[in-house]
Amino acid sequence: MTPMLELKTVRKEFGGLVAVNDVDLSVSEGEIFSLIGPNGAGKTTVFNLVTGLDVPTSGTITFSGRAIAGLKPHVLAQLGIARTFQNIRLFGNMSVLGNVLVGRHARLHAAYWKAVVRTRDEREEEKNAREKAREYLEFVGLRRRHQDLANNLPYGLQRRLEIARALASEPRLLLLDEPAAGTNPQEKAALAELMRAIRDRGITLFLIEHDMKVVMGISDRVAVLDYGEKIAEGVPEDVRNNRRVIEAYLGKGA
Amino acid sequence: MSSFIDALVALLHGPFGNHPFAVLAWQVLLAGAAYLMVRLVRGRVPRQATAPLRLAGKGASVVLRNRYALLLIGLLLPLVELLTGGYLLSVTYSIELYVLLAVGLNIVVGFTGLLDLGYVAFFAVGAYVYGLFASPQLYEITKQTTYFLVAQSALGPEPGFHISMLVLLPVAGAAAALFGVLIGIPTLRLRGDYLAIVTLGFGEITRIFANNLDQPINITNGPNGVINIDPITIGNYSFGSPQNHLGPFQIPPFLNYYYLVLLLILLTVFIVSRLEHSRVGRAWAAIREDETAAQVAGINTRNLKLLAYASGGFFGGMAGAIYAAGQHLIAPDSFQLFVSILVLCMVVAGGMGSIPGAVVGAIVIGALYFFTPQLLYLRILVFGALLVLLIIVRPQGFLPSAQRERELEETDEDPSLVAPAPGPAP
Repeated sequence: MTPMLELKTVRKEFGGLVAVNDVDLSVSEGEIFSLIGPNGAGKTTVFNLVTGLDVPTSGTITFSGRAIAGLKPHVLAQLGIARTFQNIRLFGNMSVLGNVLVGRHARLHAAYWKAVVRTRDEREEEKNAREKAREYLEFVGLRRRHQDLANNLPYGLQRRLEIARALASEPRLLLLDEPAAGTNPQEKAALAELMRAIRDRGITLFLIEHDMKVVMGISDRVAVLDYGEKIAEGVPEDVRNNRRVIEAYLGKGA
Repeated sequence: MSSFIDALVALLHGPFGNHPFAVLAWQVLLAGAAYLMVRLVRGRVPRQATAPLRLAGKGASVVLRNRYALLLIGLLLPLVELLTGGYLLSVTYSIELYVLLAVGLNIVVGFTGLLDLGYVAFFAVGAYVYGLFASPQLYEITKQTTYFLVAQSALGPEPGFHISMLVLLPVAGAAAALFGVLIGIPTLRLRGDYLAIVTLGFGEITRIFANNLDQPINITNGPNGVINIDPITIGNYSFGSPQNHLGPFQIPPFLNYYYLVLLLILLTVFIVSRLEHSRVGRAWAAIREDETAAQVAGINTRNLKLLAYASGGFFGGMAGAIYAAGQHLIAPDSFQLFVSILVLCMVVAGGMGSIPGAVVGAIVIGALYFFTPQLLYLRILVFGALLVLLIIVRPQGFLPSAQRERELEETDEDPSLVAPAPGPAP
């Protein structure tokens, strides 16, 4: 299978610190791929490189055969890459629906002046965008809260809203940065369900997660980072039993 | 007893002079101070004591939130003011220009969250574009440089350029918008305080530039400013002439300008509110809330920030052009930093990110400011105290943006969304 996202000897240095050390990764179309590792291993940096928030020091990143390293985040959103953040980053003083509509921005094309005149196609596009936005809210189970301010949602629903906002850009690749962090076991189960449903819509999932139950339960493949280096990759069972992985998590001699 | 009454009258009359608005402004100040005293002393204000105040506030809010009521007041106010002589009208006209500026700055500061302390630069650019191209100022230059290219007759019977406002109004706006983009590009990476300081610098640079551009070639006439600027003329109707009559009534120049600016305000508010409720406005709000998340959501933050500067600049530039025409003369001193601060105060006092807020903020702050000239420099002090009071009592501003967006209005009819949720929440 041709990989959808491929990182080849990707390196990122911040001053003297090597955050990502010549990492190779490839995510295939339609799979759920998880990136795990201890705190500070460079997982979020990998996400920042893929979504254009950081530029790699060296190495290449290709998405659907196209080199994307160094492209701006909004261009990558248009190409079909969306993400959520480890610390939820919503537009707090906007409505829930407004947040999802912003997520839709990459798929709206009406020229700015058309918004002033409200041409027929602009109104059509806005109406369409609101319908789509409600669909995504329905999908994550937030439809009834669409008028609330994003800030007023409880934590678990904010996580879901962030996913809805990312989905609204109709991505082909969705990066979720610790979606289960801070949620209770029931919410985790519901979240795993949601992720499978997203995959079933044909969206490839690239996941950072600390909760092993979630990771081992839904991932097709798992890669492990430690101090910026990839130390293991494979199906969940293999990774679980990998000696270096156990050492990284529990220390040598464990 | 009578001395007590005298003292009371003197207290209520205040030190600002005999003008009714000056007295009113003093009494507003007094009431504010009294309110704060009561709060401080009692810890809590008794409901009965504030009932009239709250009722008045509620009434004012109803009127001010109704755009037709506002428009009616806007249309009729100058006619009432004519009865009291021209002074009130000229001040009201100044306030109007500030309304235009506040609505423009609200795009940059309120919608997009870019703290711009140099907004006066746009006002200056617009004013100088009109001032230079509708006055004898450029006569010398055109004579020296274009004498062989342009026949003098092409420049008209009077020396210098005398281009019509109909042409120069959009040109002034566009020039200021371009200026906004030029200022915007180097400041794209700056946020918060740093942006405020740099924009403040650009505002001052603009003024000093105009001040010094009388050498080596005299373009702006330096500190003396551009004089003899043409009044606006449409056909044979000159806005600046005191000879205009409507039946038996004489139309003073400021009345012409007043209604012109009112028209411009209506147009501006229309355009800006359409933008606010479109994907552009949503993108601006997203940048304000979280720039990184906005980028990842597919927003070209660079272009949209520049668009915010350009839009804000456009309306500021048009206000400047009309200001220049109404004043007949402009000098760098008219474009002090304090203008930027005053406009920013209006936006903040009215409620950031709210168009009605910007309008009402400009009216209230403008009235307090312009109707108390007797205070001289003291009024800046009083003004500051008032703003502190406002931030304590009503931090969200007079008319904060009601979180009702275009997308929400259309869901009201959908009963399935209003019905209580069956079963447990997800």
